[in-house]
Amino acid sequence: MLTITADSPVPPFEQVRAQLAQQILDNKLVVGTRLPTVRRLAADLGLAANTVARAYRELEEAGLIETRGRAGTFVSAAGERSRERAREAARRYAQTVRSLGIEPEEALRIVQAALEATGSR
Amino acid sequence: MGEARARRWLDRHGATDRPTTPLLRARLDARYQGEMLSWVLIGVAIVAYLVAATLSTEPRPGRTSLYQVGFFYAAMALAVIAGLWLQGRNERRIGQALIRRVAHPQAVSVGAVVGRWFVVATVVTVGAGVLVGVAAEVGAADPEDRGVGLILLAAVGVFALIGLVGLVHVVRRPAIAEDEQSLGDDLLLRREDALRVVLPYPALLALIAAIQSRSLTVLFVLLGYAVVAATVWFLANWAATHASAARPAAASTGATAA
Repeated sequence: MLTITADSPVPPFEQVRAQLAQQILDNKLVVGTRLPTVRRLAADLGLAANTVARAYRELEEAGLIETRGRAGTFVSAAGERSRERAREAARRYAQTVRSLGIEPEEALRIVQAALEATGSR
Repeated sequence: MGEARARRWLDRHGATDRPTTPLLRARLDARYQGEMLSWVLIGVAIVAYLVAATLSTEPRPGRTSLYQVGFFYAAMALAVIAGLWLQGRNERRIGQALIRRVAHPQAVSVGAVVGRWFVVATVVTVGAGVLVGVAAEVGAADPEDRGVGLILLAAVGVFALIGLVGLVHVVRRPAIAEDEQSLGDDLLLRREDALRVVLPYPALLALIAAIQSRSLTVLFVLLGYAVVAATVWFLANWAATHASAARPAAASTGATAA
């Protein structure tokens, strides 16, 4: 279910994008699920079509969804593959920090710092 | 009045312990107004027909004319479409007033709205109606029987077109919901509205056409068509009831179409 609150400080396109991304990452929307058309979702949520189109565009750029011409917009397998690569990298990192004798809390702090440094670039 | 209507609707869908909501009451009121418009238009059509029949100088045989029956059903179907239009207009206003809106994150198919078995029943009714109409038109020896086939063919075409227009309207209309429960209600309301426009009207017409046919073959073909249509609709209804009994009612749980 997607929820849009008119009086929320979060812009509507971000509400749509964040909820769809979360449901895809949580596997509530599995790979291959067809999403509503931009117009349909905009009408259902009482939004402008451009607002939903922007959310879809950002999800597509993130590799979470893909547009297959007239067939519609689908949850992409690329997102699933990306997450699998991330999990594999995390497993390798976990083995490395364990072999170095670093405590889990410190290992998490290192990751957090790396993510923040990457995000600020 | 709206409260009683919403209470009855929830009870009918097995949600006896669920309180009514302002949104559900407003939506059922909107539907009631649409239905009232439909009934008024049907009433006007009947009065117009009776006036035309009274003023007509053409001598009439004692049996009902297929044209009259066809006119009546076409007027009825068009009246239903007009009612759905008014209902849709009122519902858009209700939707615009909501601060919080929810929607399905997946595309909802026609089959999910109407129910797969009702789609099959509609296709069988229309397809078989066309076949029977063509067979009577081409194969019947009596000119009046050929006329019966032609009218049935035209009626099936008109009803299929009106059904399609109504179905597209109902399936495409925006969801009016503010939480998961009202999203489940929206699907149920949509299904009920869709079934109002795809009822087996041609089979009812075929029954009357059968009475007017002159040859036994055409009589049995038309009766057979009516029986087949009635059977598939009965089975579709049984399958839908069976399926909803197997899972909790959307009205009571707020379940949505996935």
